[in-house]
Amino acid sequence: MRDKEMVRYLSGLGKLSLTEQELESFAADMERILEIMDSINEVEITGEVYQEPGVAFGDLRQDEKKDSTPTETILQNAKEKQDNAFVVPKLF
Amino acid sequence: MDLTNVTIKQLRTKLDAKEISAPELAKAYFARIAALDPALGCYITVSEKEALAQAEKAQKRIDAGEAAPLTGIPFGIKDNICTEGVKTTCASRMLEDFVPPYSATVMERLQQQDIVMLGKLNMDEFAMGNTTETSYFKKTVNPYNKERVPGGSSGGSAAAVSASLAPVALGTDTGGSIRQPSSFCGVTGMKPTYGSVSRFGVVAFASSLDQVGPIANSAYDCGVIYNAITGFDPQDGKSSPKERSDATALIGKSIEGMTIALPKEFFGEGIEEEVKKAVLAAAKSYEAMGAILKEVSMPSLKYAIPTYYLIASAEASSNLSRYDGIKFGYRAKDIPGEDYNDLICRTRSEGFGDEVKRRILLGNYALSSGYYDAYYKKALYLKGKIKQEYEAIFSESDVVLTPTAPYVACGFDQGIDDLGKMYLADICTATVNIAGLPAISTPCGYDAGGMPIGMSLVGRAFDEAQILQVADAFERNFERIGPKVESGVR
Repeated sequence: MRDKEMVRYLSGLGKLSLTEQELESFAADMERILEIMDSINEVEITGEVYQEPGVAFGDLRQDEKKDSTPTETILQNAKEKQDNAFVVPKLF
Repeated sequence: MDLTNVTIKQLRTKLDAKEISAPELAKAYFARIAALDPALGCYITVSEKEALAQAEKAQKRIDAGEAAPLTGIPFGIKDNICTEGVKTTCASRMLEDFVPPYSATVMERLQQQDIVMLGKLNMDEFAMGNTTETSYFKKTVNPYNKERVPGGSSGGSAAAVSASLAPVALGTDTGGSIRQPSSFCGVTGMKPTYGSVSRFGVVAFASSLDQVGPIANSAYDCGVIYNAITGFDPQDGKSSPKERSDATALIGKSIEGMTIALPKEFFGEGIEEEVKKAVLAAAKSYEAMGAILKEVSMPSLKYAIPTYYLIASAEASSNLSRYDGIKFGYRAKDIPGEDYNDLICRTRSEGFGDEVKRRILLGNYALSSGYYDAYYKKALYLKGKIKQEYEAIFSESDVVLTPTAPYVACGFDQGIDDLGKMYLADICTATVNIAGLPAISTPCGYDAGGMPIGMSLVGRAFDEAQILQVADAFERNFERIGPKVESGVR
């Protein structure tokens, strides 16, 4: 099922706000893309599935105080800021 | 000074002999960029003020007799590599005015040698694409033919080196984004072994596949740049602590007795005849030098595209979730009464282009409940198979030779209008990223229309020295035909 409703669900997961027209257009795109992806349906998993080796946390640094990134640097690219905070619309 | 497709070697000689100063060299490139880039579209940002200050600093070092291999050398940098104080946009509206407060590790390593950064180069938006057409800002044309794409996603980088708007550049490669534009633009580009070059400060697309690499006019130049940027970085969780050696050490040594594998699936249906012919002729040249050619097989190649796109898109959908307009980047205009979630959704919808949205949708699909096993898990299984097939080939061969792309540079809209064709174009390059191996593309011919054809040499992990050696061996006897850009792009 690669229709508009599937794309609406996926766009919700991806925090994208799409118009009805865009949903239809992307549904057509997804259909074409999945035609190519679906070739892997002919493959059966008969052995181990590759697992990415974990990140090595062996070499932790000494617990010494170091300077943090300055607040003004953290805020320098924010569009809406006030005092030492990012400004956002109400969450609740 | 004639800057046409100059090499680092040539520039180093002239700089050290004081035939030209670092500031003069930078100014010569800026004059060329001003004259030619309006028609070519390689640069998003030209950083003249910063570059001239860097050039003065480099010159002091040259005057003191303390020049490193890259001191005073002008570079173009792909615009997904963070450069402190200089806009880094990823060719996206989402980052159109983002100025990084820090530089990527690769930039810090280059600045340790006092390079001169000319500016930031155009690319596909967030590195998603293979024609540079998805850039939010501008079109880059192929210097060989303005009606053709430069390739992507490092299209600006490859076109800039090809048109001599920079002698060397950095690009990034996730599924072929250094090698394919290098092939289309007639220059040499290398994707290093995964884990050999730090990804810290490089805007993430697919974290298990991304690598930074050089684009230049020769394999040797790629080696010099690789030597500068490689090395363990604790800020990249997948950075390899393996000892590095001089990647240029084998250049010039004989390749007699070396076994070069040609996987038959890379020379079959879907590969243009002129491309096949040029790469097989290059194989014959290697045979004449004493190499042994061996036909091998990579049956999993037929699943390379879905394996690549499912893994890359899944990772991208996660990596791109950081763009919400709150801490940095584009932010949609506030609408009174709208809540936090609505703002984020509108920001992302307005900030991202269509191809980026498609990849987010595909990635979410592959990872979502009910589809995870059929798509993402299967892609990981195929990743294991592709790695095993390369291991089997390398147990009996030294390098693998393939075309870099199935065809030469196509016209605008020809790739992007047909999504299937666009995605399948990565067939020759993507398995290298999946397997985490190093590969270099270098020109091996031109088609009947004069468009460059590239071949790729793939090596074992951390064997950059060998693929550079083999690429250089061909380059020494190959006469490159540069693009004609002086009298207007042809």
